[in-house]
Amino acid sequence: MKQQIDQDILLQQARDGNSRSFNQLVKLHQSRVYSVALRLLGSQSEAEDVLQETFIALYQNLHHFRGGSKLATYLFRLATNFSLMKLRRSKRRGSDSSPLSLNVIEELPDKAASPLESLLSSEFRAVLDQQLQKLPAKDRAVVVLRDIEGLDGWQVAKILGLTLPAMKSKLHRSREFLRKNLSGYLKDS
Amino acid sequence: MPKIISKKADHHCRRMTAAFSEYLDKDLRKQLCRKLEIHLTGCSDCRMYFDTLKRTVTLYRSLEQETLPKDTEKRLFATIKLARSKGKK
Repeated sequence: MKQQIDQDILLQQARDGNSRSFNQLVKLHQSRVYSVALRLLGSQSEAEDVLQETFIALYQNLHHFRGGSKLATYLFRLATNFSLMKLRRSKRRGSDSSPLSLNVIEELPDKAASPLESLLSSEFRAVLDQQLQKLPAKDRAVVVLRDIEGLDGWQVAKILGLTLPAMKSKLHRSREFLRKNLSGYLKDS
Repeated sequence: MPKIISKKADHHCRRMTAAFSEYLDKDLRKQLCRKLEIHLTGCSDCRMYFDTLKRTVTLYRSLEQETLPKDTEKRLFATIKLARSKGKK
């Protein structure tokens, strides 16, 4: 609650032209915005582009943003839309800027390792990201926003321009896809 | 999907698995939750399916935020500064 009030004050100050307050807002949200973009795009340089586009858009629209929706949700919407646009463009170009320029391993890690150990390993985190990148862009966005970022169903549906049932259906389909692809690993615990 | 034995069970299990995601999100109506829980006690295939689905979701929920590289942050603030100066002109 206090954080929300602080953010409202920062927003007002930023609207009044206080650049320090705007920078503070950026600092509060920059990592989450970058994280969402990176998980959606799978490329650091493209995620950086989206990060910049998102905060420039915020800067340019400060006077229109009334705080009706939370700032975090607004930024997620911008970052998600910019990322999906990038993905659509690269698909049209037929470029394979596709994911995991993140140098991810091709195979699941050694199944002999216990999942708990693996859970902590960066290799396993990379595998989770790798499987995520195999989902169609919008399905991936549903998982990133709902499961990783912890937004509620309504927020995710709104950000992606989906009805709630459509969002739920995508979420279930995506989770099932990920479960299936990770199942060899999950069984061993 | 759980392994299916009969056609009737197939239909029943498929309907159940579609509700597992909502159950995990605590989005399912109470009556349906009860129905699903009863089904899970009697169907080992669905139990295994549910268990792996739950663990998959837990793993993704436990993923940490990516760290913003220092250089990326620097370039972000440089871009903002540039936009600000353009806005003033």
